[in-house]
Amino acid sequence: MRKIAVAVMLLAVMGWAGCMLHSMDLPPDFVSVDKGYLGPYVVRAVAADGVMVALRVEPNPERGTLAFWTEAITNQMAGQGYKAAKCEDVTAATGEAGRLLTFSVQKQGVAFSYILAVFVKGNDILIAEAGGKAATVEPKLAEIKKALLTAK
Amino acid sequence: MSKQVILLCLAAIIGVAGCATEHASLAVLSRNRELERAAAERSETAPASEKAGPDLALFKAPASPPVAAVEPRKVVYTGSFTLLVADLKAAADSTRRMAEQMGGYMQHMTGGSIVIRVPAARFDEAVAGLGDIGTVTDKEVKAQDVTEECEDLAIRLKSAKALLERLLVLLAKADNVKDAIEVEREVNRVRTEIEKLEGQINRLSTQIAYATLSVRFTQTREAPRELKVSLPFPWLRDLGLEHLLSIVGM
Repeated sequence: MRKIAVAVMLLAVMGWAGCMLHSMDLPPDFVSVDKGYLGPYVVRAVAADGVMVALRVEPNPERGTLAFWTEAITNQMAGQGYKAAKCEDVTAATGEAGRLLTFSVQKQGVAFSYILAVFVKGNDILIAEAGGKAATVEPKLAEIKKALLTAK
Repeated sequence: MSKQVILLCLAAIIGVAGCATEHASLAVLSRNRELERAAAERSETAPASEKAGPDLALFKAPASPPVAAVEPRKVVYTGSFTLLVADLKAAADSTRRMAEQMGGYMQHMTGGSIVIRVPAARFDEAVAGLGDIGTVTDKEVKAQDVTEECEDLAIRLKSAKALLERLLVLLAKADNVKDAIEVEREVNRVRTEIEKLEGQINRLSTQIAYATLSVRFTQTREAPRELKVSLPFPWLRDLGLEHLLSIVGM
């Protein structure tokens, strides 16, 4: 009985540690959403004007390289009608090499921006995303990029 | 002999009765045709807003209904069509032109679809015209009888107007401020109600006068599509603004 209790506690601690493992800083004036709104993300935050930032962590069991995932993501987005605007080499706050991809897309006549920072960290792929109407993303761009690079 | 006389009389009676029935049927048919002809004439000569006009004065009554016994039903015609065409833009332009030539107009247009309004009396003609623009692969036509709704609105409007008149008389007679304010408030409420009803009547009149045709075009020869590669990493397909912004909308 005691062993079971210990095992349950261990699992709980491991689960909590897993959640705390990945994070990113939020740009100023962004608010984290409740757990119920997290979806596939480990971090998800919103600005008052609807611009969102989020972090997702995906498995990389076969150790795909940064170049592989950059190309895979770029192709995927192109297939969805997104126009690649920029691809920059960046370094995360943790020192990890990554890529910052910027896309633009028109939705019902409105221009939207979508920005992703991709980092490959061992068996994980960290993808920090930001997006919203281009007109609302633009004034926050510097702060958003800075926040995306804090993904860890 | 007397049996023969009786039989002859019976045959004569049956013959006369049969003839009378036929006369009655013919009379009804003839009256119906007369009505149809009169309606067609009205539809050709009356302005667009009065075509397919119901008899209620509020719903653009025809000037002089030839036979008052049978009132035409008030019907809203709508149709949805899918057309197979070679050139989407050319087909949409042709459809718009057709509507304009019929005295109608284009209500909405996107790359692959168009919504047109044509005078209700020319609905069938418009449907046939679509067949000339492309191959109709799907078609749904609806005729919604709104006669009762029209009558109901007309009655409600009449009552509201009568009430307003009575209230105005009361207002003129009010001998203190408190009463006057109360009646005034009620007058405003009834006026708003009247405006609302008139708006509904106008909208319904337009719907009756103009049939709505929604047309979706599909291209006969599809443009060559780029071969999409789908990698076996489902999360890739979840990337994008649709997912990211799903909780705030786009």
